[in-house]
Amino acid sequence: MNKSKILWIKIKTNRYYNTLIRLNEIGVTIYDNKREKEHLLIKTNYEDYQRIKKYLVSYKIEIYAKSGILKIKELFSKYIIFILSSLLSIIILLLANLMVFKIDIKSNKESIRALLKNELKNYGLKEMTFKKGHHDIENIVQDILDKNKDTLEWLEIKYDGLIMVVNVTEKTNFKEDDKNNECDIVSKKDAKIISMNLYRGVALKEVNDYVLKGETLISGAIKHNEEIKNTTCASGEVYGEVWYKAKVEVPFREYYIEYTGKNRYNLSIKLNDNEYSIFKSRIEKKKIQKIVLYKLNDFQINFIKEKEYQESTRVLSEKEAMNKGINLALEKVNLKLGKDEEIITKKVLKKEVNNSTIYLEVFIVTKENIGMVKEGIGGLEDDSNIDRENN
Amino acid sequence: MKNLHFKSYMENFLYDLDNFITIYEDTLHVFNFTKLNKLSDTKIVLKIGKKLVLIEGVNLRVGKMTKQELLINGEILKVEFKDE
Repeated sequence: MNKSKILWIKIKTNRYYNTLIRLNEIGVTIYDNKREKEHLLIKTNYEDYQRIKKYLVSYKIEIYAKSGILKIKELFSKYIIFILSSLLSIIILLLANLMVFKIDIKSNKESIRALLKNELKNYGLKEMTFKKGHHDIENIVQDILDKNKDTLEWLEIKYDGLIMVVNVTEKTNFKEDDKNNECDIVSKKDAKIISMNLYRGVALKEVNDYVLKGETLISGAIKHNEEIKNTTCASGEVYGEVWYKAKVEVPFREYYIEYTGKNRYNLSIKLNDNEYSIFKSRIEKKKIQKIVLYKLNDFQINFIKEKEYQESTRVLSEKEAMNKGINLALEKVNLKLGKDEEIITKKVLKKEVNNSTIYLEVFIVTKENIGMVKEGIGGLEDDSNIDRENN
Repeated sequence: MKNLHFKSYMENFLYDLDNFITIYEDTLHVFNFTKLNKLSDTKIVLKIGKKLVLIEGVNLRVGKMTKQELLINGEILKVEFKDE
């Protein structure tokens, strides 16, 4: 059987068996048949359908369903606009993914940005052009670095979606900097020094020394017999123990959220700063998780997961409230800490409890980078009048 | 290289008949009938050559049908050959 041109046809008849005999007489091949109220449905091929139409002129005949190529043709003609627009969209997306829409040169200096933009342009790397392969990019980077030995130290070109990101490090002339800049490293907080890495300058303090805010730690003045022989911009890392007193109050009644397990999914379109949801959200209290599906300049399509929650209250025990208070105090201090800085120890100094709230005073010791560059040379070296309050 | 068509040769050898009727549990296959005379859900009358074939059963239904072949589904109770 020619499966590509099979169809179901619907013949209006009350005389089901006679119609089948008639179909046999005119030589129609029937692959399957069904009897419906006042109708006979038969599965046959397209040629036999033409024959039925020719010989059974008094019957009302119509195509019920198509299969194989006929079905594909029917669907294709029905959804031609959708199929073509989808194909076009896919092609545009694929082409867009192969293109560079924006060049982002990561440099603060306008001169470096202009230089690189011009160099990239010479190699055909500009906005609204096709991306180049990894090997080509490597060669271009090397060529640009070779051409600009005096200006550029390091260069990297990578693609982040449709954006070409150019990371660059400018060549620095330390000698010139030294002449132009004179500076000391001073303490930005009252602290006890726990470690010191000296890169340039003269250390005026040692490990385990107590220092005050503003005291010079590393001097840019290089002295001989109390006479300044040379100056530089002091450089180094000084870590010290810094002390904080944090006051927190924690109510015994605590509000918390509990997830119900009900999740809803949605899509949103973000255009400039406006975001529009595709479907209406049916969850009142929800936490939203967002995944970016597609991003092109200011246009963004997001997949959104909405997790429903409900608010509840509970009463904390004194121990729980105290732990919460300590954690709050640690968090408060932690926010001020940077990379390589940490909390060393903590201690509750004072605790007051009333009916509804617990008040705590927590002493916290941290390890922090206490060094700060101060333009010019010859600041405070040892001054006991400085206010010892850090924060 | 030529194909042997072994399966086709075997089929031709075994079915080398002008016409035949095969009865399975709830299916009846008629090969090379001349005319379909009567058709209902209890009785089917066919003409094969110069013989009339009377098929009686319950819930008889045409499964597949070509000009010369017929597949009947249903409970087959009786198959009778008659002279015209």
